[in-house]
Amino acid sequence: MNGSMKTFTIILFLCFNAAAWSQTAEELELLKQHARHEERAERFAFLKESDNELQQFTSVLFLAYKAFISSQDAISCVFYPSCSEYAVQAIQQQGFIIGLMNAFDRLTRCNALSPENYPIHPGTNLFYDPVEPMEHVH
Amino acid sequence: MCTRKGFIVTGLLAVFLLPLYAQTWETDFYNLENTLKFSDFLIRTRQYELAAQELERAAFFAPGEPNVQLKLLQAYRLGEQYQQSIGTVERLYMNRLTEMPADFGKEYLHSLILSGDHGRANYFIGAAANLDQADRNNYTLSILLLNRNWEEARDFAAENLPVNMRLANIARESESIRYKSARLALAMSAIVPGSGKIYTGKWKDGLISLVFVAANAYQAYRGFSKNGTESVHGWVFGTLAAGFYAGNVYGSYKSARIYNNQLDEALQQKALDTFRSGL
Repeated sequence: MNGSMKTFTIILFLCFNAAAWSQTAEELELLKQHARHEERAERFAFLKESDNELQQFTSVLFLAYKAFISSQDAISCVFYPSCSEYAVQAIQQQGFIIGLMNAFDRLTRCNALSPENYPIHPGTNLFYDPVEPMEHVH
Repeated sequence: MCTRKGFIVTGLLAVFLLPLYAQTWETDFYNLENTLKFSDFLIRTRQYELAAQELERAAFFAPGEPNVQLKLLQAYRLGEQYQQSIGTVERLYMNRLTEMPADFGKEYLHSLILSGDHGRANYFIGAAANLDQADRNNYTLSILLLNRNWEEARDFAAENLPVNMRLANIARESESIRYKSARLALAMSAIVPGSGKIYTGKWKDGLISLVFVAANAYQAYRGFSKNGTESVHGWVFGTLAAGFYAGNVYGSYKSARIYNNQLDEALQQKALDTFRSGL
């Protein structure tokens, strides 16, 4: 092996070495999960606004539902925010009893039969139905 | 030969282009007249914020020119920069706000009303020296309509003339609004689940509510009839049935309130459109 061949081989090995140290698919997936986690943390920031133990309990139930049940299924709710998010927000804003009744009412409305009643949320293309301000309802 | 041709071409270019060059230096695009023309173009093409910037410069050139200032206020209003408009008027007529000319007073009122400062607008309507009675009536009626004070607006339009006919018609139209009773919707759903929603026009939601309540109640009934009060099945479905029932009662009440709010909102929007299009 002459000198130039040696140099070429060293350069070739160095190139592979560099490739081996670039990000692997697993690392990329880990990074993606981290990004998703941050996105989710931002979306569910309202959970931190719980005032009492009952609201905190519903927030925990919501997180458990999101982590273990909802995550196993495709997006099926026709609304934005989803029914579970709506329930927690309704309980936070309107108290446990009215918020819970509002959540049950939302569940019965969760179908695509009445598109005329809701605007479309631009980010998700779902029906937009936030928790109504109290002054519109009471 | 080539050199001669080159000389001729250069000579001809010089003869034709030099006068043009001189002409370009004659046009001052930034003088007051051209700035106003350009701002007119920007307003015609609905570029109100850019028009306001041009007119701010024009107002700097001609500080005592009321037409320029008035155009500037219009550009602010059309571009929905109400606070700038209010601030500019208050700077111009600092210690004699109530004595400003009628045109300025109207622009000031427009911006106050559209920015939602109805308290100051009402005060100014009463205190302004140069507004005529028709303008005072129109602005007062507009504020009443924009605040959804329908009954008061109807009385005002009937008792205070002259008043803008389109606004008066909106006030009269408010009498024909047929609201849904939220309490009746609540009572109906309490008796027959879903009927309150059907009453508010949401018949599909009403039928689905009825099915939800009936199906869960039936499942609870089955569980309890089979195993009595020990039935887990019965309690689970009974709880769900009670939840859907209560949710539907509340939902019917809410649905009526939202329906009424939408009716009010539609008329309020009509009043706002009329107000924006000019009185």
